[in-house]
Amino acid sequence: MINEKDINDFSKKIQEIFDQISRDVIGQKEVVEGTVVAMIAGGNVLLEGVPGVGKTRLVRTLGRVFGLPFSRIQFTPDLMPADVTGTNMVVRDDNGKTSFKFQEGPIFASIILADEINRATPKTQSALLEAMQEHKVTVMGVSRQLNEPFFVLATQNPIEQDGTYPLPEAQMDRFMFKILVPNPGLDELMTIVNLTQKTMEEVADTVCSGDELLKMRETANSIPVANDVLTYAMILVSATHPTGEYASETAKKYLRLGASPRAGQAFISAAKVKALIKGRYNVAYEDIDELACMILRHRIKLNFEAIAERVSPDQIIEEIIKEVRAKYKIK
Amino acid sequence: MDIKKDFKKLYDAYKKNIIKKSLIYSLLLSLTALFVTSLFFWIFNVKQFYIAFIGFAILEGILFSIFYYLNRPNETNFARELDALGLEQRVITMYEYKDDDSLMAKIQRTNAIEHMGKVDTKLLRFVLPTLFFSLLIAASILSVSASTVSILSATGVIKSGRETIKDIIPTEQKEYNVYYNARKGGYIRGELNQVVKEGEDATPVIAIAEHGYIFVSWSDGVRNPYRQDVNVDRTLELFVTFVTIDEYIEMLKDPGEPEVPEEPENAAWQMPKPDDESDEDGPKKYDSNSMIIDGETYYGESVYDEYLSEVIDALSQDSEMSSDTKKIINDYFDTIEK
Repeated sequence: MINEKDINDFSKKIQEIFDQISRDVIGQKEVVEGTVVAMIAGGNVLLEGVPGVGKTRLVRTLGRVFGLPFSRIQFTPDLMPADVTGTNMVVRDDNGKTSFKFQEGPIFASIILADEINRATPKTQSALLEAMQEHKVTVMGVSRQLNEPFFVLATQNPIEQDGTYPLPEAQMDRFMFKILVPNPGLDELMTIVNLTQKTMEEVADTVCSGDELLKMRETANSIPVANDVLTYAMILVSATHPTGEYASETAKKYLRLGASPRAGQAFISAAKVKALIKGRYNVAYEDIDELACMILRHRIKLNFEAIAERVSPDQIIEEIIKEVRAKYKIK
Repeated sequence: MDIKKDFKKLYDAYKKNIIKKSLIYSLLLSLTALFVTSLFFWIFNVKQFYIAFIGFAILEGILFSIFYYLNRPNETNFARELDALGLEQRVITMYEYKDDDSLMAKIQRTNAIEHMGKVDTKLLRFVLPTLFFSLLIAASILSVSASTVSILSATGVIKSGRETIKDIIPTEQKEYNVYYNARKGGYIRGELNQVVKEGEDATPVIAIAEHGYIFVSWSDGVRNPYRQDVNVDRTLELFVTFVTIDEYIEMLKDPGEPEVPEEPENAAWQMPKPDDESDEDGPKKYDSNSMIIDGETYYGESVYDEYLSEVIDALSQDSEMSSDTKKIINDYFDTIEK
């Protein structure tokens, strides 16, 4: 049960989190906010951006700010599933008896940085599936629960495609958000350069524990959602299905696959957090709209026409939002 | 928490707006209908102009009810309208969770009411769009004008629309020839060759038998020597048939009716009128000595007496005629006299 203190603490705590992150990560306000929202809502995040824009630094900073066990897995083509999950090792005790002992892999942490996730083989990538969805891993038939809270913050480079293995739909769907990390603006770039001339040290302090994070999640979950808003979010998800009953004209034209029900869950969980961050105690249509690209862009599959016309997923999503709002007269 | 009490004022304003909106929308349509009806009544000179007003009142009532029903105020719709003023679904959420006793729902309600207090109530006012306002003004002016014209036309103050249009835009009317021809034994008094406009009436004519002859019928079967063809819509060529008295007696002896064609619709005849009661506007002349009653011709006293004395003389001098024939002729004259 949440109390008034939890509600008051939420806004105070969230402000502290953003303040501390901004000490190490210059700019990237939307990226930071998106990542924090996903973490509070309990979702995994896929960060996509060219090298050097601060993806890894952001994830490291989040680990520091939340004071959570942090692991970094550098995904390479020769990485094996056991390198991620851990493996049973033969150990000899003092009496000379041998037995299997499970050696935990780097996934046994709270914040996992899966760096360049698309460089590993599908077999290794799939080792993360169970962990991301069910927060447990199964090795040699034995299931082991992972720490709570547990997040996978993965990064990938959209440019270099040689020797990469694009993430399958099932894996993609397990990321609550796909956040595009843009290049910093001129002012941000100047600040970054000035700051790093003095020191490269990361200075963010821990302001939120794992328990506090879980409490924040519980507080956000108690936010009421009006039926109108819930319906709008679900229609938006359904409108991405080109052959569905609620298919939008844009989806019919440019998409061959729409978003899964996980997108609907992500909308509501994340929108609650977003509303509370804004100091509102209910979810609004605007929250849904603001989250739409992050939630849907990696869940929709473009058809040949969209690729040929160089239409981006974000453009398609924005068109679908306009269509749905007009069709259902949402003011 | 009594939510209704908290924003009753706003809700009342909302209800008034629905009434105003329904009234204006229905008024626009019913005024348009009144305009069209009044225009129709004026053009076709319908005297019952009040029907248009009754129709307007009934239509207005029905349309208002429909519009009000379609936009009938309810708390959910009001909440949505209020949220559209920048309240970010606070009010609709508050309504749906009004019975929720959880802490977050209570805080949400407090937050929603707090924000509702900041709403500019002017935004809730019903503002008629300029285009709509212009249409309403135009419909009002047109319907009032058309109604006035319709009333004036019905009361005979001004001409009907059809007549006015005819005056303004004269149309070329078709003309038809009407010929009246007499055969042996008589003549026709009146205009024998007439040119008549479509739908108008020919001037009256009368067939008069010469001495020793009797009028039988017109070629179209009319057995009345006096005739006036009304509402002429085609060319007419008519012949009148006279027979001698002997032939007529033979015809009377024959029990069968003479074969004559049926009367066409436009072959009309009129009862002759006394001179002082004749129409003022038409040249409808007739011979006052001839009377036609129940399809039989009765001649005036002077004509009758003159012919009667001639016939009696002829009969008395005719030694070849049988007494039976003379009796038939006498009976005929008695019939005419009656």
